[in-house]
Amino acid sequence: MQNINEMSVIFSSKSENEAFARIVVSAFLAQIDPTVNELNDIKTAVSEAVTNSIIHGYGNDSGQIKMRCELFLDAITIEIEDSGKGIENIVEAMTPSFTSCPEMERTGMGFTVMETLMDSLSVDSKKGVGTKVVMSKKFDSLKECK
Amino acid sequence: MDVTFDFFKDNLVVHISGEIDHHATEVLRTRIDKKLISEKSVNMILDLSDVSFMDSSGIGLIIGRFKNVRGFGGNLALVCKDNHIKRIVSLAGIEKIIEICNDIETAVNSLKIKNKKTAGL
Repeated sequence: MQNINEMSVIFSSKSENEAFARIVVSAFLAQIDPTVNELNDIKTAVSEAVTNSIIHGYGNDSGQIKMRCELFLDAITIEIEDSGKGIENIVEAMTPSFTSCPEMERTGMGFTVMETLMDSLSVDSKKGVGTKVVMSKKFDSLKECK
Repeated sequence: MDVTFDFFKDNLVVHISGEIDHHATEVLRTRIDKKLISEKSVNMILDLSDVSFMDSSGIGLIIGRFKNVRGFGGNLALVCKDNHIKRIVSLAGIEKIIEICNDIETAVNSLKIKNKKTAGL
């Protein structure tokens, strides 16, 4: 399917940019006018993926996070990619409540939240190279308009 | 993000406003825990009525405060009306251990009942 618009941004792995990434996606989606619930789902999933890159991808190091969005008539695909340390065991990392940072009060719910709020989620990671999360969501509200 | 405190019928009420994400939780944790220790309050009500966004970082914040309050022998209740935040909270199954109420008065009553149960009355 041909996309109707696309954008990409690159930002530093600073926690201040969690809100920045949410605002950017919200602004990009304004052109198709999704429902508040759909927008909240996407903002939350983006927040989870960016937070994972900051905490788990880069940890105490700093690096860059690339966010790329492709907009279709009734759907969006979002890629969030870092060049951090990568995930050694993706299955374990995606298990609900699994966390490598309990001392930071992380609950290990990030991937569960992304999977629940989005229609599809895939995680590609290589140790020492980085992690790419690709997720998509269809806008049911827009399907009805077509 | 901002946090303010007051007391309602001897319960420490923590009013959080704005967005709760990983960036905000560190400041929130520090300020809430400092207040809890200084006031030696037994029960806490986390009022999320004015929270406009919360991701799973908020789940960690809630569970962490629950553990601290339980450590003092008290209980914790949540006040939350927003359906999206309730959904995030329910993904972690928080409602099985922490009462989620629509207003502070209901939260106070639920804590009263919980405290009686804890005391074995």
